[in-house]
Amino acid sequence: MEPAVPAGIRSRHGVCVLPMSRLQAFTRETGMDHESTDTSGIDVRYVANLARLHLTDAEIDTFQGQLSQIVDYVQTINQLDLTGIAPTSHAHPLENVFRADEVKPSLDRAEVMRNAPQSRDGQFIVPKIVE
Amino acid sequence: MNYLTSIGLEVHVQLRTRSKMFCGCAVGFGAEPNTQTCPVCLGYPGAMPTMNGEAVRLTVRTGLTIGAQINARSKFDRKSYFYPDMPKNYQISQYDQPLCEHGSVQIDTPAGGKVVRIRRIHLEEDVAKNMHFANASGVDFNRAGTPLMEIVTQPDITSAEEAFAFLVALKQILQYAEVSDCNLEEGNIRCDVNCSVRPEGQEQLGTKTELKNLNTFKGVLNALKYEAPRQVEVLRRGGTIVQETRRWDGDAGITTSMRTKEDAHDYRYFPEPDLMPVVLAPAQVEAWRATLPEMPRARRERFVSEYGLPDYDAGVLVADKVVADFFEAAARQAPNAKAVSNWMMTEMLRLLGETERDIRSVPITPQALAGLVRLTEARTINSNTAKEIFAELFEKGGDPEAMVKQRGLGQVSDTGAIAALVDEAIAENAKSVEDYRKGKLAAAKFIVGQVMKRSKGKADPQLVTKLLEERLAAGA
Repeated sequence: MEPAVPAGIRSRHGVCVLPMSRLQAFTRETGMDHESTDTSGIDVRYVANLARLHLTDAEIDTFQGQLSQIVDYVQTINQLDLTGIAPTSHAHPLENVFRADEVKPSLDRAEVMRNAPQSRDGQFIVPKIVE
Repeated sequence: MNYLTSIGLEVHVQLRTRSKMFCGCAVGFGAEPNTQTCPVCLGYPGAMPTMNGEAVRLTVRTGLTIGAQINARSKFDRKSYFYPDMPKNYQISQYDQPLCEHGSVQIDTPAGGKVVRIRRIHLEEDVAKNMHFANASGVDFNRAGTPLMEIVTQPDITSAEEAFAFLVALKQILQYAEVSDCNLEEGNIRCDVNCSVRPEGQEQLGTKTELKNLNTFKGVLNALKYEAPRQVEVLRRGGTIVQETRRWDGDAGITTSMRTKEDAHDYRYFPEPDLMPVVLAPAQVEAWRATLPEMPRARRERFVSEYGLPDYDAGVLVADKVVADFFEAAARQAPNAKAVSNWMMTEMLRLLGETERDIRSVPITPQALAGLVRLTEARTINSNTAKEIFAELFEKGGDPEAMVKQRGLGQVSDTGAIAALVDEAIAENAKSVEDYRKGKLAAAKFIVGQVMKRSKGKADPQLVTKLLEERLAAGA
C-alpha cells in the first residue's frame, strides 16, 4: 500500500521543501528510517556541492540515509517489466501548450527592485563575479 | 608530423519573435536595465512558463532549410547550473529530444564545396546579462528568457577559415529564412567553439578545448587561428591537451585557461515538469515546409543559369538577401541582366560601402536602375554620363529616362556631326596627329578626348574612336 504523502511536499519544482521534522516523520511512517544498504548511487556530499548547499557531516549522514531510502523506494518500479514503456515525464496527456507571440506589459522596475537586496542603476547587485 | 584539426561549433541564434520564450515580456535590445521583466523571466518560485509557439515554428523552419529531420516528439528539460545570470539555477533547454536533428550546411572552401553536418538544433531560453563594477557585479534580466536556438555541428570543420565560411553561410541561410535578425552587434549570434588536433593517421579525435561566447565571426576566426596551432605546439613538445574551457582575449590575440571547476558541467538534466511536450504532425511540418523561400545557394545557381552571371558575381549578389532582391527586381525589367549585375557589383556596392548605408535606405529603385541599363544598352547615353546619373539616382532618386530627356544628355550618335568634330580636332592637334603617325598610338586617345570635350561629353566614344582611326588611316 502506498504511503500517504504528507502535506508540505511540493514537488512541482522537483525540490522537496518539507521541514526536517516532517521528513523524519515521513520516513518513520514509511519504514524508510531503517539502515539501508544504499543502492541508490546518490552521493549527498557531491550533490550538495552542486546545489551550493553547505551541510555538516552529520547532516550529510542523515540525508545520505534518507535519500537513499527514497530512491530505493522509487526503484520498486523496476520490479515491473518495463520493456517498451517510454519514460513518462508528465501524467497529463497534454501536448502543444503554446501561447501566441504577443507582448504583455512587464513589471514596473521599481516594483522589481523592491526584491533586490542591493541595486544600482536599475540593476541587481551581486557579489563580484570572478571567472 | 602533420596534425589534423577538428572543429565543432555551437551557434546560439536569437530568434525573431516579439515576446520572450516563456512569458509575454518584450524582446528588445538597448532598453533600460530590468524594464522588460516579469516573475517568469526573473525566475520567481511558482511562476509558470508558457511556450511561445512562434519560437517553435522558427526553429523548425530553420531545421527545414538545412534538410534536418524534424522530430515528431520533442520535450524541454532543466539544465542545472549556478551563476548569477540565472536565478532559477536552471536554464530551460532541450536535452535528449531536440526539435531538429541531422541536417547539413554547404560551404565553399579554397579546395571546393564541402558539407558540414549539423548534429541538432534545439530551443532554449537566453540568460541575463552581467555587468561588472569595481567591487560588485550587476544583473540585467531584459535578455533573460529571449528565445535562443542552438545549432550544433559535427566536428567536420578542419580550419579556422572553414569555421568562418560556415558561419557566413549559416548567417545567410538564417537571413533568407527570416528566422533571426542576425545582428551581430546586438549579440543575435554567439558561438561556442570546440577544437581539437590529432596526428595525421590517427582515427580518434584528440582532446578538445572549448572557447565560449564568441560574438563575432572574426573572433571565431582569430581565436581558432591561435588555438589550433597552440595545441599542435603542446603536442609537438610532448605535452598533453587538457579538456578545459578557454577564454579568447581578442586584444592580446591569445586564449587562456579559465580553470573552471570540474563538476561545473554536471548539469543534471531532467524533464521540465512545467512544460508539455511538443508533438508535430507531419501535415503541420509539410505546411511549414511549403512556405520556405529559395535558399542562398539555390539562388546563386539560378542567377548563373537564368541571368548568365559569373558564379563569383552571383555569390556576391546573393550574400545579402536584400541586395539580391534588388538585383532581381531590376534584372527582370532590364534588357541585359549582366549589365544590371555590373552596376550592382561596382557602383552600387562601392557607394553603399563608402556611405555605410543599407540598400533599403537609398532612394534609387530597381526600376530606375533598369531604366539606366535601357539607356546604356540603346547607347542613348555613354558610360560617363551613365555613371553621373547613377550617382544622382543613388543620392536623390528619380527616373533616369526623364532626366536624360529633360537635360538633353542623350549621346550624339550622328555620324555626320561627330565626323565634323573629329575633323576639327585633327586640324587643331597637328602635333598629336604627327605623334600618332610616328607610332605613338596613345596620341589618338588624346584626340578622342578633345572630340569628347567638344561634344560636351555626349558623343559616343566608340563611334569617335572608329571615325578618328578611319580618318588617320586615310591620311587626313
